[in-house]
Amino acid sequence: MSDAEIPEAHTAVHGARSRAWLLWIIPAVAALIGIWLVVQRMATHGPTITISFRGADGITPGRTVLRYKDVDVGTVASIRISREGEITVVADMTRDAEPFLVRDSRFWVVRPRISAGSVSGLGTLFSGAYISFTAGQSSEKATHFTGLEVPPFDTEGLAGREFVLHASDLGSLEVGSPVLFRRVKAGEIVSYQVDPTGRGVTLKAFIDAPFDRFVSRDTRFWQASGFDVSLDSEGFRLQTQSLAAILDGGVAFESPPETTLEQPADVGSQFDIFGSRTDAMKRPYQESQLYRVYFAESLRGLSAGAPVDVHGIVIGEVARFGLEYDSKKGIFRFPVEFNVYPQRLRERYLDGVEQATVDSVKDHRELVNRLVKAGMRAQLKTGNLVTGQLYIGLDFFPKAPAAVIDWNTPQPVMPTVPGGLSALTDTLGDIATKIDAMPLDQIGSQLLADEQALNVAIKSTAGLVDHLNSDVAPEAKRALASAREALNAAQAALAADSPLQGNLSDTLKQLSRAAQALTDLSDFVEQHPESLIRGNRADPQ
Amino acid sequence: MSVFVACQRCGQLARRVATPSMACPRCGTRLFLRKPASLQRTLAYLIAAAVLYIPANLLPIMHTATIQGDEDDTIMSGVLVLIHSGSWPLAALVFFASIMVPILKLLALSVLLLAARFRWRDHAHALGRLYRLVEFVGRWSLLDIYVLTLLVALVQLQALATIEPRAGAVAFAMVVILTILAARSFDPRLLWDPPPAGGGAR
Repeated sequence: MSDAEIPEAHTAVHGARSRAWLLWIIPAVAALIGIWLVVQRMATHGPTITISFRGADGITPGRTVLRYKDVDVGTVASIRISREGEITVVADMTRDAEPFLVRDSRFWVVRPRISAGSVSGLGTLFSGAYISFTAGQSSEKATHFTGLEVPPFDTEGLAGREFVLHASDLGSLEVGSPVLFRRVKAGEIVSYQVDPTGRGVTLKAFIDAPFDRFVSRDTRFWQASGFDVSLDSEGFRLQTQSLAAILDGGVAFESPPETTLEQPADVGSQFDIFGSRTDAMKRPYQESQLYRVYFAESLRGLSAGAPVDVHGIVIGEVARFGLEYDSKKGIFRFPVEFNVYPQRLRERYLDGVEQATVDSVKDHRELVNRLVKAGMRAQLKTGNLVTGQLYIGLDFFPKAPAAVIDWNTPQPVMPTVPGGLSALTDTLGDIATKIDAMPLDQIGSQLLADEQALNVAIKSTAGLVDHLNSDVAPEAKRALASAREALNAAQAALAADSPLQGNLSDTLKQLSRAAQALTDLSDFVEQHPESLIRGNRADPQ
Repeated sequence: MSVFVACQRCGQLARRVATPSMACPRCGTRLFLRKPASLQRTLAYLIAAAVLYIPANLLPIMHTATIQGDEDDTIMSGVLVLIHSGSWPLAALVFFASIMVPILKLLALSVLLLAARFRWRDHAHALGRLYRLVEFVGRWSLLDIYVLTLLVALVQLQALATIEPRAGAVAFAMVVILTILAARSFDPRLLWDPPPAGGGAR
């Protein structure tokens, strides 16, 4: 190709306007974009905070995140160790987190926690631990915090209410233990601490809605930890809660049946945790009367909480028992105090029967006075022959010696009678005592002396008999023989054909004729009384 | 000045005409003896790239949400992760392609700009090779962005793992593109142009 073949360039349609200045828009835009990105980054970049922990287990700088309500709001930038060995975690927070970083915000490390009741922090199994925190109420900003070793419970924003529970000890409860309502999980224990006095443990329980409305003022809480095994006068009982509670412990609550829900408990209401459901449900009877009884028999087998019943209806329980010194008599006595809940008796009235009116203390006293007059006595009874557990029975013994209750003491003394089995023992004892008291030795020696005297008597008797035999008997025989002869003679004389008999018969005939003649004479004299004077004349006619 | 002018698009050689602007007789592309405002253009792109280089390295380019937790990775932290996991060659490659190459390109373009501006003709040959290297290597810096787009598209396992691009990736991509544009707008012929009679830069 030669130069001549090279075509000429065409003339461009558009003019070659210089727009070089437009080029500078590019770096300007780039700068704007860059600034915008950086500003945006800075906007989400919040304060840097420090949190001190006792240990840094699972915390990795650059990896461990800080979460608020499970949202990442920061990253651990570095971990420092002070000379004292305290771990300080430096964390970069996002701007979103700033409002929550106040003086009483609480930080803790979330690690996987697997218990029978729940599995939490499962994500941390793979991701490692993270730091979680709750916002405080304070308005004062803070940049340094002290981390908690035990995770608190974040109730903020959850529907439900928190209540305060008191227990004598923690049992197997811990933070996160379930709170059960009719064995449905209704909440959980959110915190616990030993009372400042050291006399118990105060727990906080959070009851989720809608269960929280079942907590009324007289709701009872009890330890649902594991098995509730009891051995008392009612025998052997085993109660369990849900399986999770068996393994993990928990608190159950329930309201007494007569409770209405119109009085829901206020937030932060205080409740006691009872040892068992039975204990817990026993207590709703506020109306109670304490009685004291003195039993003569041994109290072995009686325990506080043992039932007090009337014909098998439990109306109270043994409160306590001990001993007291009666200085007047110089003896120890063993008082037993028991509570009677009149309400329990009232509940048992069937419809349509006459009810004892016990509306007031006065009524109650009158009723009891009447009952005692009618023979009501307390009696120690054996509830379980195998275990020997005792209970107190109130029963009627109309023949019991009269007694009255003195109401002027805080613990009126209820009259007692010896209990069934012990009454038998007592009677046997009495018999034994009486037998014991008999002068058996004396009786024995007396008997011996008597016997000797008897011997002498017997001997003289024998002599008498001999004498009778030898002297009296032949004489008597002769007497008898002559007596027989006399009788024989009499018989012979009296025989029909005997001469005496014939003579007698003739005599009687003569006598009979004489009597006839006499009769005729008397008749004649009657008809002819003048004959006595004139003599017998012939018939005048 | 030469009599001919070559078309930058189709290579057609054309005879110059005395008009303010010429066009290729074959493909119609506008013809220049030298790219107009080449240095200004390059400088503008270069500044823009340099400005964006800062957020590109400081801001996270990638957000990884896995069951292990959420994580934001900058280019440098990605390199560190690779080092920690023992992938030395890969770490070196990423470090070279994503951190060294852009900065070297920025430096090289600056050198070229200075050379063209101040007519360092003694090193014209070496500078020409530098220019070719810059132009060749430019696109490889987008490797990171390429990998990232693949990851973002593929790793969408919802709860298990999700990867999202972050602002740093945008800045980084813009840096790479701007350096490519800067290299393209640079007219290497300026490197060997003789000093103009007037003594000023064209």
